[in-house]
Amino acid sequence: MVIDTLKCVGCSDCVVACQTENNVPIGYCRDWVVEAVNGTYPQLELEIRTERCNHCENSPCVRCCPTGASHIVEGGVVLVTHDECIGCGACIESCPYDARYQHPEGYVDKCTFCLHRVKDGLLPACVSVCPTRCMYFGDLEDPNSEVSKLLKKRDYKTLAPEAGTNPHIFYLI
Amino acid sequence: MKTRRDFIKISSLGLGVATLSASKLNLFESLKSEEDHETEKLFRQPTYCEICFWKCAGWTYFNEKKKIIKVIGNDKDQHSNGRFCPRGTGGIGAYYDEDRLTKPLIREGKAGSQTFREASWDEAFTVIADKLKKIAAESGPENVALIKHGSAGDHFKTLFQAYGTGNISAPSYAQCRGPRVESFKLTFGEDPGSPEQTDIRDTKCLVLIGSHLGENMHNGQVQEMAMAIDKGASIITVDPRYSTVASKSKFWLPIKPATDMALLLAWINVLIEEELYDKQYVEDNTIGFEKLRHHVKRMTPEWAYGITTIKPDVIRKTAREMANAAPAVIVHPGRHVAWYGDDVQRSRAVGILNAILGSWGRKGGYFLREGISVPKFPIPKANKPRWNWKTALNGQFPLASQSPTNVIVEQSIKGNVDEKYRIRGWFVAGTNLPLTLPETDKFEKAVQDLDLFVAVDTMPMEVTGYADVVLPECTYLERYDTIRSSPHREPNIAVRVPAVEPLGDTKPASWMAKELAKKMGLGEFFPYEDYSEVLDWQLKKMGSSLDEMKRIGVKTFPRKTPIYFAEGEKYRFKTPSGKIELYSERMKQLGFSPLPEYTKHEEPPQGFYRLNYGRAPMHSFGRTSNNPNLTDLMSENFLWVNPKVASIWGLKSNQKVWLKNQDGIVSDFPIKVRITERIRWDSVYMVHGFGHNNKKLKRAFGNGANDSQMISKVLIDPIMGATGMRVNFVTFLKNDPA
Repeated sequence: MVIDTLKCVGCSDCVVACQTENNVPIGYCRDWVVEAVNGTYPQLELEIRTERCNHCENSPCVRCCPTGASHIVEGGVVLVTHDECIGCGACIESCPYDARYQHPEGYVDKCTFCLHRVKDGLLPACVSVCPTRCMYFGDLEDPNSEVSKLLKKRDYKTLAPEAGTNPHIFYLI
Repeated sequence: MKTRRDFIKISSLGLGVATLSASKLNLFESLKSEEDHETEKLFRQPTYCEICFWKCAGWTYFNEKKKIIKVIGNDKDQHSNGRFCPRGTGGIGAYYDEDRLTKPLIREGKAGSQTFREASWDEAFTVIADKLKKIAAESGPENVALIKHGSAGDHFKTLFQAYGTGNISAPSYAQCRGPRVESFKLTFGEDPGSPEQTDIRDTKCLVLIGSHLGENMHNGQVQEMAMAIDKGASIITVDPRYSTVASKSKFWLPIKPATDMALLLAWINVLIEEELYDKQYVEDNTIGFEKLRHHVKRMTPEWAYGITTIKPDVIRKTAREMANAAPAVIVHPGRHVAWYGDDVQRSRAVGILNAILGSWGRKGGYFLREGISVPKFPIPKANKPRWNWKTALNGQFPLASQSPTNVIVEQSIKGNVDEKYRIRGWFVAGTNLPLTLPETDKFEKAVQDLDLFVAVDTMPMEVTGYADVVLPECTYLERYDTIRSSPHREPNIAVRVPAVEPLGDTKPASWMAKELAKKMGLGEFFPYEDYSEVLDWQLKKMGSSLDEMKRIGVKTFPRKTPIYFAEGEKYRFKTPSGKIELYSERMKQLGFSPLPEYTKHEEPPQGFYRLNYGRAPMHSFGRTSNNPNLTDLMSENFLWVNPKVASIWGLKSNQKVWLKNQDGIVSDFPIKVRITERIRWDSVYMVHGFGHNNKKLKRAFGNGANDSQMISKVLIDPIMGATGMRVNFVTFLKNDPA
């Protein structure tokens, strides 16, 4: 996933769309919006970005999961099998992005890239509603995909690169 | 009709996982349009959103058990381009809100007491009809006002016109867009409308004067702004606050509040002095240019610097930026522009600036809107009212083309007008007046003098607490309403069809108006059983039908006129002269300045800060602040305070303070401080619509502060009666004043 911080206005449509799509209980969320302000008035900079699980290639959450509930599936998407999760919370602690939360039913939950929708040929709910179209979802291995082209053309960053997780969400800056 | 695009096989994103192979993942070859995606158990009906005034068309999805699952945009809709904003997506929360009104309520005991009992619709209508008949017999039907916002108002308008009153008012005029409506009519002969005819997607330069696009989530415009950013357009934002869009702007001008007029005049000065204006366009299409040139001669960037604190070279650079982009430049008309009492004149300056840049009728500037008229369903002709709100004004606010709600309030207070012209009853539909209107004291005084106060709403808002009778409306997801026909790039219509039955004992406004009419002997004005009959009749006349519209939701018709002016075309504007009126003879005749002038506005006294207010993208006015989905995104407002100010007062982030304004009014509730560099030291800022004091709003009660309560002072625009509201100053109380 590629997210253009120059277009995001932080409206949080992605958050409410995710909650409705995935039955995330009110008070919890799988994605959220961060605003980072730098400088002093009137020399200011503001970055707005929507955040979620980075579906890391080197995922600490998967490595530390004692039951194997946290795992990586085809396409590189990190998932949690709710039935196998004992709710120990080790993954929540290990995630440098704070992307996971304990569902009131006991298991740990997080973004799935809306795999159920993607399998049906749809975009993840957050991407599909975004009014500014600041989110792009596609195949990073295909050099002709929109996401690959954007990463070739534009400057980008990932979050917490020092954690060595090889995250799969890229922010255009 | 599945749209196939080039998408991705997702293949192996996870390179480190050996078991992955691209061949396993041929599932994801096509990307379907969201709205074509109906899983086996979901059904849908078309709607247009009622959470704000943008009225985006979309689909309500529900399952076999008639449970609403989600609301999404309609791909064919020009307001939403298939994508709802957070409020639209969270619109289901309006349906599921457990605090909804579900039964008609009648006040017990005296006015002001908040004790209600549940009543049947028949009883509620009888009480209302008897009172309305009594007022009509004693004074006249003209002595009742309908105050409305949104779709419910359309149905009650028919009722009250039939009853015989012309006192029909909407706060969206004098508390919001009114100054812009009149100034653009004076200058171009027409109002930029809703959605505004701004060609943002093709603009090269977008200029925003205090407009916080992205925080005000005017869906289509925010989308087009993102498209313009993609295409490399520059944005110039004038705002004392570092707004979201300021952070996306090539130029942010952190102007001293209340001085925008000086900047606008200086920009006009630069464009003329440096001969950067569109000479041919000005010659072909405008009148009064020489008078304008003379008028702004002394209004140099150096003059404006002393007033606005914006440096002369920045004023010149930004003027050149606009000229370089012209005619693909938009100086945005704004939406809520009732600020300082000289708002028609400031809006005129915005219009004039657009005119000399040649942006009206040009690609990337202002496109020409085209709509399609909806045939009028045949009903008897109503009697013409003998008088209306204008009568008692005696020529005051001569350009008020609609009734300022503040005028209706004034005319309801005993002693303010001849008793013959006093408004004795209010029927309020879809607008929460105590949070909408400034000068709460006048509202409360008027309420005490009323003989009848009816409120129609979906929620127990503050306004329903004042009413004698409360009528519970079902939400937009549960009802038919009038056909949406808003002129746009292409003429189009959209329909609203109920997805589910109304919850509890709630009813659509169309039904309420019809049944109340029957009780009042006005049944002939509502010759239908169900409102869907009206829609089908109208749609068939337009070459469609309700059946067709249920399938498509939105229908677009071909344009009959060009969207832009042809090269060198001399367009006939709907002004008296047929040209864009830079200099307004009309204004001169009415005794107003024919060209905009800068007026100095009052500054905050020592220890006080100008109260600026605005919007958050996930809320609409105060009407969403109890919505479970949207409250989850933002449950209270914060007071933005500059760190320097915070340090003087010893304020800490998240500390709760009460506000006290220049008139000694103290906020009902405290508000948490947000210390941020994004605000000037001479002003504070808060999002409008919080600080609800109706305990029946369980989630919203007491969350944050209510800016309207602090707006006890207004400067009224003498031209059309708008209430300038950014003229209030507040200070902090660190301890509970109670």
